[in-house]
Amino acid sequence: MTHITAETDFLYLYGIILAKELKDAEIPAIIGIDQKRASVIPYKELAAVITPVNPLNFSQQYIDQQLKNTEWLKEKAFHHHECISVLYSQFTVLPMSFCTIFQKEENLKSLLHEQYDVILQKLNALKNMQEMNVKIYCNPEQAFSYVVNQNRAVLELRENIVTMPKGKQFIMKKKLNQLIASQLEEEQSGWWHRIEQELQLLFVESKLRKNWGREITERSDDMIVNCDFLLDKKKTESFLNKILELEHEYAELGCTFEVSGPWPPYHFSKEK
Amino acid sequence: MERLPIDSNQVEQGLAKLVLTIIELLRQLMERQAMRRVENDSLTDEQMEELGLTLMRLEEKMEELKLVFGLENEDLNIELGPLGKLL
Repeated sequence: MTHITAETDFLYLYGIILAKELKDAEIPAIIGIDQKRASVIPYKELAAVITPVNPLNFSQQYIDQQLKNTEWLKEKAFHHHECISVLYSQFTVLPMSFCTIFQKEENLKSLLHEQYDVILQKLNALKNMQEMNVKIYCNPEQAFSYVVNQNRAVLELRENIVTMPKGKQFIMKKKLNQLIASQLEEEQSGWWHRIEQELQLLFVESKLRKNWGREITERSDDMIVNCDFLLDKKKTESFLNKILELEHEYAELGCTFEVSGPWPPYHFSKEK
Repeated sequence: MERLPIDSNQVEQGLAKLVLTIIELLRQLMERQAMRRVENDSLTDEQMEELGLTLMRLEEKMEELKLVFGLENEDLNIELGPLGKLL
């Protein structure tokens, strides 16, 4: 595959693949982020998938400015994801972050040279792997009611309060509210610990992400877990079945599970 | 920045809101201090009972005052600009 770049063009890097996989499949015809065809720059056993971009439209300063432009961001970020997904459907890919740009081909080659072993090792580890995201939401009233009626420490304090004189009762009721809040947090972290244990044999690596607030989820329940899993493609079915089983089990605690994927391994491509 | 309305009909309400916010702040601070002492086991049963009754009466009084001035819990607050809200 050839690539024609103007002297002044920058290189937009989508991802890095294993060169030997190009023997079995060609890079799909992708129209790049700046309307020029995507192509490959080989380096030993690696191949960088790039597209030339206009230096003015993809300068650091211009990108920083455009990141505030939601339309531009949406269009370009979607394109970035689409291209990586197309590559991922045929190759083992180390996806790059949105707007990874090199001013010159030699800069890219120098990165590939310096990071060669790390990248190759990472790509080999990502072979036949995929990323799945699991979000767990919890109905706060249902979880609250579970803690109030089932948690041993809460039940004990509730029982004791009844026999206390009025003043002490007032203080201990305040303490009970604090206890319920802390026990709820503890219970939920215990639920997640057990869920992760149950899934343990079905994934290779997991990464917890920040939970999203209701202003983002637009849901009436709270996100209590947002986790990415890296798993062998062969284990996908078992993983999804286990999630269904867990969802059923945790429904009485007010939990619902939301699974998305398979995704290219975005969250497992960076060095630890 | 909170401003008191100049309108004579509203000035009483505005003043009450400001005063009750300060009292509510003090009440909450007292309550937290009391909880800390309970957690540290530094109170005898009698002291805890007395403190509990005081806090209970204070809370009841605040409820009465809010009713009198037509204020809700969320009214008792002061916007402190970049620092956020007082309560």
